[in-house]
Amino acid sequence: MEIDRRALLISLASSAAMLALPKGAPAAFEQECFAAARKDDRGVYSAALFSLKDGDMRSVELPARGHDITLKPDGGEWVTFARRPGRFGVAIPVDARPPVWFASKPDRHFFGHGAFSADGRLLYSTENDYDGARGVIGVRDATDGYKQIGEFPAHGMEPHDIQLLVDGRTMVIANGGIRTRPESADELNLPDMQPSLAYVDVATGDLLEEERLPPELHQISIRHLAIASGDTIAFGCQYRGPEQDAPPLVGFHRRGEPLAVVPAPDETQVGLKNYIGSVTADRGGGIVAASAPKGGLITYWDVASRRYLGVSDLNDGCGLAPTHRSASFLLTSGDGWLVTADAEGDMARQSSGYSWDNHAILVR
Amino acid sequence: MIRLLVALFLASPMWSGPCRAETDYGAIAKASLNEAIRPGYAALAETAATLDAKVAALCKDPSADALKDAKGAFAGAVDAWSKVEIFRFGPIVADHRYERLFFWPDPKSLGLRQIEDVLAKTDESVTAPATLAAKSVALQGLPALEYLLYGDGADGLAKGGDAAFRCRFAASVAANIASIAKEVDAGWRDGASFATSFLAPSPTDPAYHAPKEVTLELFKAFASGIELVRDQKLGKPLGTSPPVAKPKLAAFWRSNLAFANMIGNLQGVRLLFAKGGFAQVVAADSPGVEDSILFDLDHAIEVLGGMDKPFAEVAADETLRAKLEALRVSLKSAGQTAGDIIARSAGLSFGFNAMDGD
Repeated sequence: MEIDRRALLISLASSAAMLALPKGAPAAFEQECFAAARKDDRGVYSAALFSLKDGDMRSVELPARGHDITLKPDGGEWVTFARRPGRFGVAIPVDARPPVWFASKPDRHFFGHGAFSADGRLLYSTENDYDGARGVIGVRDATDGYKQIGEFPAHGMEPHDIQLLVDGRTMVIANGGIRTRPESADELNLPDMQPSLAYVDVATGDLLEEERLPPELHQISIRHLAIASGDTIAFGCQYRGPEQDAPPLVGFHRRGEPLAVVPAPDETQVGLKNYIGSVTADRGGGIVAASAPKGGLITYWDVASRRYLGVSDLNDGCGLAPTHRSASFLLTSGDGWLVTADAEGDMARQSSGYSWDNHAILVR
Repeated sequence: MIRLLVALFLASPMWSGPCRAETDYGAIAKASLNEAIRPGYAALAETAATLDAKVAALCKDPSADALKDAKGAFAGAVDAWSKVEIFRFGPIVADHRYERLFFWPDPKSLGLRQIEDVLAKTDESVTAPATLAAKSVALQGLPALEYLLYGDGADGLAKGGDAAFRCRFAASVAANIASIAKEVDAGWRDGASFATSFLAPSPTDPAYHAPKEVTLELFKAFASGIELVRDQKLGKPLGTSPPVAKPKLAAFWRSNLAFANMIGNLQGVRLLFAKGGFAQVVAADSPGVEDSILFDLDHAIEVLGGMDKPFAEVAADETLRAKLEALRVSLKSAGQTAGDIIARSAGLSFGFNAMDGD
């Protein structure tokens, strides 16, 4: 992987994002606070707000394994959801106020992801209406104890990750397309699964645009996404067809344009093991990282040119978050590593006693 | 020394290509099914049938001896269950059978509260196995029966009289356990649909799309079985020190079968490793390492067998705690060593973050 890492160094150093001034430049010198779910050495699950220098600032024990974290736009609290097919969610203030617990309806379960409305008053979450065999987006009132006030269709099966575009009104939904039920791991519709990227107006629930992969790639489940510069959606997929196919798994899309999936160089593409676990954009939005925990690889991509930049190794590495610096990421692993990988190609590693879960976010 | 030389030769690049046999995924499925899964569930069905008979006999003719027999049969069923507890796939997960048989952990004591409520109200609807099966999972499995046979007021079962309702409830739970165990046993027989998927996966099968996925499932049972004992059975109830220990989080503490349960779990893990084909995978990659993994498992079973006090007393005893913490470390290293070699040789991915669909 040495050559790849050097390639990353050169590519990142020459990328446009490096030349752009980071937003709020002074913050670049302050300690980042991150949040992520994890498991400790005794098997206890928790979600924590932490910094690399000082460790935990707040940790809340969870009844079972958590998944993604989403931050309220004012930065005052963050929410973690149960991993699918769990039913709990918890909003945790960054200060000492008590956490607020909530649950899915009895005939729904969470898929593990969510997003706040632009004004922070509503929380959206991806949920499974398994008896109805359809995905839904749950809507909760963040100003009233996260009481559920409604839901709207995800316009696809198995919505996983969601984000709001910059307009604050358009939600982009990664519909994985795989039909499951909470009581088993069976995937019930692989021969005719239809993953999609759906754009929905959150004010009306209307489907604004739907993008699907070409028929020969219909078993590429679109699961995670990040909003990069210019409202470009970068997405990561998991392939459910024959293992040796190793199709491309990272794609880009902007509304009104065709959807594109981009292969990594052959050796790396095979090394991804048909599985992308997390996707995130850097602080400036010009560089995207996509992790492949089964393959133990983190790949980097240039958003403007939709080009593969390079790769770094991290066994069971999955969680990704931007840092205060451009083209720099926090990488977390199931083996306990917390790594910052930056534009110079450096990887600063520190170990911890936790198995870090699939996702991480930058809180401030 | 000879073993070392062999290991070096096998590990050299010259040999690694032509000599390393391809992992035979189908053979692992078949061996695991015939050597571990089927005998394990057959034993569960048999011991559960005995338990059913013994509890029925206790209710019919209450006596101290009959209660002792029922408790003995309970221990037998727990032992059989412990050996298959590591499998969380197949017929045992259909129709919520796993939770109905073994609702655990139960940190909020939901089961206890529901049972006490039923006892207080003498709710006769629990005494027919068919209606019990449709009730809360916390009322119908091994932990519920454990409370009825060992919890507050259980001594009355030896005398009948006031305890007659409690006994009818216990008999209904035992009959339900026997019926679930029988269904699972039948669900693994030749020709049953899950057994067919397991032995002959296909791209359109909802359970397994390829033989390698079955190997991964079995490997997860091995790895998570070790983790189950290390974390859930020991780590959490022991806590980091005696004052924060939570001995009531231990499985089967009430019947003093907590260590027997862990021993059964590790025996199940050992059987799957030794007879299910994984030991051979390890041996082909790193000869001798399979023996050291078996040694670690045997040692852990021996240490647990030496715990001759109830779990709560062990959790309060610094010397015994130290032994168990050392055991947790050696289990972790055995699991990791085996895991790394099997993942590499069999081409499996099973990390913390490698779950399909997350």
